[in-house]
Amino acid sequence: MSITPTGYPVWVRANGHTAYGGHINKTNYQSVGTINPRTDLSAENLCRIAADLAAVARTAPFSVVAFQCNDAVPAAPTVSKYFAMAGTTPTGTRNGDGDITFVWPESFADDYGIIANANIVAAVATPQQTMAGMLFASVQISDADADGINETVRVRVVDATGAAVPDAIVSLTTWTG
Amino acid sequence: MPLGGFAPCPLPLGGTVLDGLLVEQHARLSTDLRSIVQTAPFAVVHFNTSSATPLAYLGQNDVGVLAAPTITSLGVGDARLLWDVSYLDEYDNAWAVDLSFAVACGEFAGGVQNAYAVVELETAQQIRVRTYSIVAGVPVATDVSVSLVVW
Repeated sequence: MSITPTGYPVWVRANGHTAYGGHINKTNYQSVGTINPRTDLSAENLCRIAADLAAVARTAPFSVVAFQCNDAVPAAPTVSKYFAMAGTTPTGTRNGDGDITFVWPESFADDYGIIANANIVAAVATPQQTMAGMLFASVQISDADADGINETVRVRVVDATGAAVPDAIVSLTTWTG
Repeated sequence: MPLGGFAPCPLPLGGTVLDGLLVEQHARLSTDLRSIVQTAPFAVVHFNTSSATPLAYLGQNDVGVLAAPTITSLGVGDARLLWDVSYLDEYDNAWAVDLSFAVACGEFAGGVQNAYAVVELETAQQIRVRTYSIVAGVPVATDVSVSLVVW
């Protein structure tokens, strides 16, 4: 029988230090500390690991996507890189020049098979400049199927006049919570 | 190798992958955690420049809008976020808030077809965010939602 980890998958943002083994009153057994720091993990070590991991787990991005819009020959965007806490590359759809929508599954399983919702609460898109001039990227986070979970992020890239930028290259970072 | 009730903290490294924590695993855990800590954002805030209310907050100090910084609207498309000078971690140790970097992205909605955000690190606890949309080829201050990430 496989183990069920404490807490929730990290993208839920609900794990405190206790989920990782920390406790404000944790002590070494019979107050005997580490005999050999090369072979032992003390209560103090474990509590530091637990608190630090809980802290960074709260703000770590859920995903980072590097993609290019395909507008000269209209097609779905090409994803060149994808890093994520779970799951595989989301589905991308072209809306127009420099305008795409990514849709993620609404839940994922962690390494232990624990399934949890992934509700997108923040997104940052930055155009990757390959030409002179100013480019801007903006996003729209939405719950397209109105079930209470944001699963969709639309990205638009425009130039300094507000005109859509075809074949834009973008880095998109998302956070769930 | 017996662990658990037979060998509580200090936890002897070793055993097997099924009942222990190997030295190699602990080394990987330690170095990966250190790497992540060095680049992890301090906070992610989703808010609207016209609103003094955050929409979402993920912070190393806590999660949820109750832990969010104080947001003040300074005008159309212009807001200031102010964090406390320190926060308590889960062991009640106080740590200073010392912001160094910030990035932000505007969110379009409704009649706003594009939006962008500019950040200004005013103090180690205070960030000003201005948001614009481009109307007839000219940037115009516009209230939009923003995703702000700070380190």
